[in-house]
Amino acid sequence: MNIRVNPTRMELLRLKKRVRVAKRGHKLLKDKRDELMKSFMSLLRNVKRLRLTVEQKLRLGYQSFLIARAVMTPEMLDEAIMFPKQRIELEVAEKRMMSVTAPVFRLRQEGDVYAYGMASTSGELDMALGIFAELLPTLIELAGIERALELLAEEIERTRRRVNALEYVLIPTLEATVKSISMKLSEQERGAISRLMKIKDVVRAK
Amino acid sequence: MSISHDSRYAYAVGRIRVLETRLLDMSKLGRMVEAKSADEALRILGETEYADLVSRAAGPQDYAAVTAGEITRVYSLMKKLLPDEALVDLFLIKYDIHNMKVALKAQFQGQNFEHLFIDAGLVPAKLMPYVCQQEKLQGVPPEYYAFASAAALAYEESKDPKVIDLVLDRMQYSHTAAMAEKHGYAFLARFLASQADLANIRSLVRTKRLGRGRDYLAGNLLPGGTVPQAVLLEALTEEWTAIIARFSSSPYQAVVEQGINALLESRGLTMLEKLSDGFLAELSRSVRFQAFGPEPVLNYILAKENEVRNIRIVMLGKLNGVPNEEIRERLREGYA
Repeated sequence: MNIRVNPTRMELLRLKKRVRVAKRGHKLLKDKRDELMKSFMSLLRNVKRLRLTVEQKLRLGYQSFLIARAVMTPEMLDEAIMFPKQRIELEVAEKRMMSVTAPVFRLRQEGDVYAYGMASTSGELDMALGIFAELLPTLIELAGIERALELLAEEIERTRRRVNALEYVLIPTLEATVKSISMKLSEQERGAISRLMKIKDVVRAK
Repeated sequence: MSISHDSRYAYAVGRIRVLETRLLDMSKLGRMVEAKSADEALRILGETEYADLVSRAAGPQDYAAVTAGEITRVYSLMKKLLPDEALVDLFLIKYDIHNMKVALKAQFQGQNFEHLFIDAGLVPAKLMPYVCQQEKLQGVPPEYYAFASAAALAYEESKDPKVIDLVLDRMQYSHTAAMAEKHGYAFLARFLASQADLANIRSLVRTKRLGRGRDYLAGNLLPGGTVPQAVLLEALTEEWTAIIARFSSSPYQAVVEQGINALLESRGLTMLEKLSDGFLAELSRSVRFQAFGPEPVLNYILAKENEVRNIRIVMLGKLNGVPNEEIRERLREGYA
């Protein structure tokens, strides 16, 4: 597919320049995509490790919580945790990685997580809350990394589309157009030469 | 062991003997555990004394309403059977104290937590916020005003919501024990002392596991037990083996030893709690066959509370896909 332009030398020069720029951009975007993939893969390994830890601990936490729910009435369990004394502050900062702005969470926990008496509660509730409280910073870290991963994936997809558009659409089109203009210009040149030769012959014949 | 010969309870004991045969024994609970789904477990429960309540339940997730309905039914039936309501009232104090905790915590947070009330106590749950605000109402035990005021004061001083529980738990135990003594329920007083001991032992183990200090444990200890509080506080700084050794000559030896060993084998605190409940069940069973006196009635109420707990364990386990073996492991021994 060609671009519809006037087959002039000016246009040819302009298009050749565009091809050069497009090729350079293509290389840069390809490098960017490769680097994004590298960061993505390294984050992915990190996320896998964190997720595994989080899921294992959450399973233990929920198991304990389930036992606590079984031995206490639902109302008594809810009463034990209805007035928490732990305060949590969550700060959100931004971190840029290869044109991707990912959130970075900073968690601050203050106060005791055990805000109930022991006489009317199950020890399994201590276990569950202990696990949940210990897990919270990791959970928040995981949320931040997973969001970064999501944004990176979107950016990779966008960059991949751009690379493909340059590689398979823009550059071939520009090159085809350059080729066609060059051919047209050569044709014009040949036409002009043959016209000149004809004129020369006519002049000589006289 | 003193044996009660109170013939006023003869009719109630007679009725209890019949009602006891309808208690869910381990084979019935076992069938529920073996059920393929929570629906099937509920259906099996529907073949028992719970038929009426189960027929009104929306599904297995409605098990809490079934258990709550049954326990309320048992309390009101016992009130009809017994010559004095005071014995049943002793079992209802814990619901009032629970409602008081909810009302106070709701008041201090400025939020409405009415859904957490359990309307099974001596005082209608909806009146509890007024009791907490020291509004004099008819039919409210006068001690409740003092309890609410002490808990509120403790919270105002420390701004720590936990103190509401600590103060009210202590008051609940001492009040229940005092009432049992006042009405001459010798066995119940002994039972409550053991209950306090076991609660204190559990608090000792939980505090040590959390790595907290003496003050933390002291706040959680209940009055009225036979194990001196000083002994429990001293034990906190000792190694687990020393704690086991400390209780080696006490009646709680098996509970402490097996409970702590299970904890050290990373099996959690379930075993300690199960053994504590088992100890109390055994104590209650020891007076079950008395022909006269309130003990068989007491045993029946405790058995029902235990049964309801077991149903909760099975239903919750079934709803959450807990393996049958694990559900069975958590079931409490029967009182019957």
